[in-house]
Amino acid sequence: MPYIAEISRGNPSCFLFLIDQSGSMRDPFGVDPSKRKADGVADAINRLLQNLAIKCAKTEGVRDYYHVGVLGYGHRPGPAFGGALAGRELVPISEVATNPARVDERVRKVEDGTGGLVDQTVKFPIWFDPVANGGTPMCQALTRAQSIVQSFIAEHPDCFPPIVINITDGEATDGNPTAPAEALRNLASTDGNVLLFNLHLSSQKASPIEFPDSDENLPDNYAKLLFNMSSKLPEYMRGIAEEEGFKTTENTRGFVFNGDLVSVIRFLDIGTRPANLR
Amino acid sequence: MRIESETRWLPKRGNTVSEYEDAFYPKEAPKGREGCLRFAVSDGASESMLSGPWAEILVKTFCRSNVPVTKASARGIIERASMAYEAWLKDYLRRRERSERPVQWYEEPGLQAGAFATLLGLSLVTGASGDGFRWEAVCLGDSCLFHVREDRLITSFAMTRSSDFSQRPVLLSTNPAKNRLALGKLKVTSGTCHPGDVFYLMTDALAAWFLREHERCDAPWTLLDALDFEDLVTGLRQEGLMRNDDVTMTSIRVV
Repeated sequence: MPYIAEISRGNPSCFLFLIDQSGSMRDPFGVDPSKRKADGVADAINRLLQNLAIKCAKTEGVRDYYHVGVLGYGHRPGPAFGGALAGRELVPISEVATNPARVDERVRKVEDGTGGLVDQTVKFPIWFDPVANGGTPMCQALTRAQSIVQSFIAEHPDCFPPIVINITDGEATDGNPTAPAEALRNLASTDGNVLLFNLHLSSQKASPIEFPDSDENLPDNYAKLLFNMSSKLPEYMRGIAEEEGFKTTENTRGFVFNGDLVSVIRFLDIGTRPANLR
Repeated sequence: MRIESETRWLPKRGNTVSEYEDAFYPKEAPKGREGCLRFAVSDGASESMLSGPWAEILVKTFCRSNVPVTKASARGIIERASMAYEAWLKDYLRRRERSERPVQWYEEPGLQAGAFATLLGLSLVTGASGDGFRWEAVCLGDSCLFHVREDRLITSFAMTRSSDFSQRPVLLSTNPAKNRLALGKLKVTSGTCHPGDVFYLMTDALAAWFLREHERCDAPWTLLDALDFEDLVTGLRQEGLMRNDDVTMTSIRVV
């Protein structure tokens, strides 16, 4: 049965994010036209990295359950981390956590325990600011991802299969990404195939769609293409997704349209997670 | 009648002893023969901050209480434990502030969410008249109590089937806002025990194995009594018969 390998510091897994930094990302973001799609991408990748680091954090530091890479694609695909991590393809999550470009502060409402809400200041680390220029060489990005993931699997043959998350508006300018996406999904550790998930940030004003099981209700061809490029959620992830309140079927795919993909971090199993930790 | 007890524990494979986040109490087998003897184990959630210290405070607070075990008294114990944790946390944060490693951004959400752990407590009321001791137990979460008499499992509390275990149990939090659901799941039970009876208090990985073995009509307690604990756990982990997790077992024998 695949997707059961323990994720540990001795047998880490891998997260590779592909972020679309093309010129079309300057266009307004469908669910919030005051923002550009590039803002949506920066927000999504920063929140994904933040949540992954928090998930692996203990008081003695962040445990290296994952090696993490971010490939940007606008002109040519390449490692997108800046500062101390510049030029590196995969970085242990503890180093990602300790090297954001800056840490902003945001205020959010939280429950006060007596039925009310109070303001709470939270630190929000920023690794990436919005970027939008050049074309959308998604095929090249997927091919580059294939070589990075292949090297990781060669070093960690029994790892929990790497997860690749592509954040894009779907408008590839270097051909049809279906074949390179399939080649990426065909890579496997002894525990199962690589998982490719897609977060589609669109200019369409359609409502968010999270983890659908068919492309029927998706609003455009880009969304349908990205849905069909996405891996089905493995059984164990479906189990957690159900516990988190998502309805799933065996055809549910790791695809989100104009919505929030951060929930994927909660689907990861690195140990006991209290059901009442929300 | 008297009580003999022993606790065995092992951290998750790949973790150091300092990363062990289960807890048990008392640390030494109690010597007394009369009165109320208490034992507790707790399992701090791996995906929460400071769950080890919270588990430690829960087991100590339960064992230092001497009121009969009821849902109401258990709520009182949990309240006292929360207050003790708050005091401990204040001191911990002060120490961190003064240290070379002040609290980092990635720790803050976990610290704000609070620590999470199970609680399983057993109270043996010794010295009463009659031919047995009364026992009372409280449980929240997936740590389990097993009562074995004459080579038969007569009580399995609070889980009764190996399929009941999940990686997402409802646990006790230090944060009262997260505890509304948990307190509703608090369970208590009681019974009597006789010379020859054995109680096992276990955290979830071992308890799930124990129930699976029992469902196959085997008597897992014979293995627990006969084999070296570390050898048994290491072997079960290697064979994939037990989830790799911190493991704790207190065995209490009525003699």
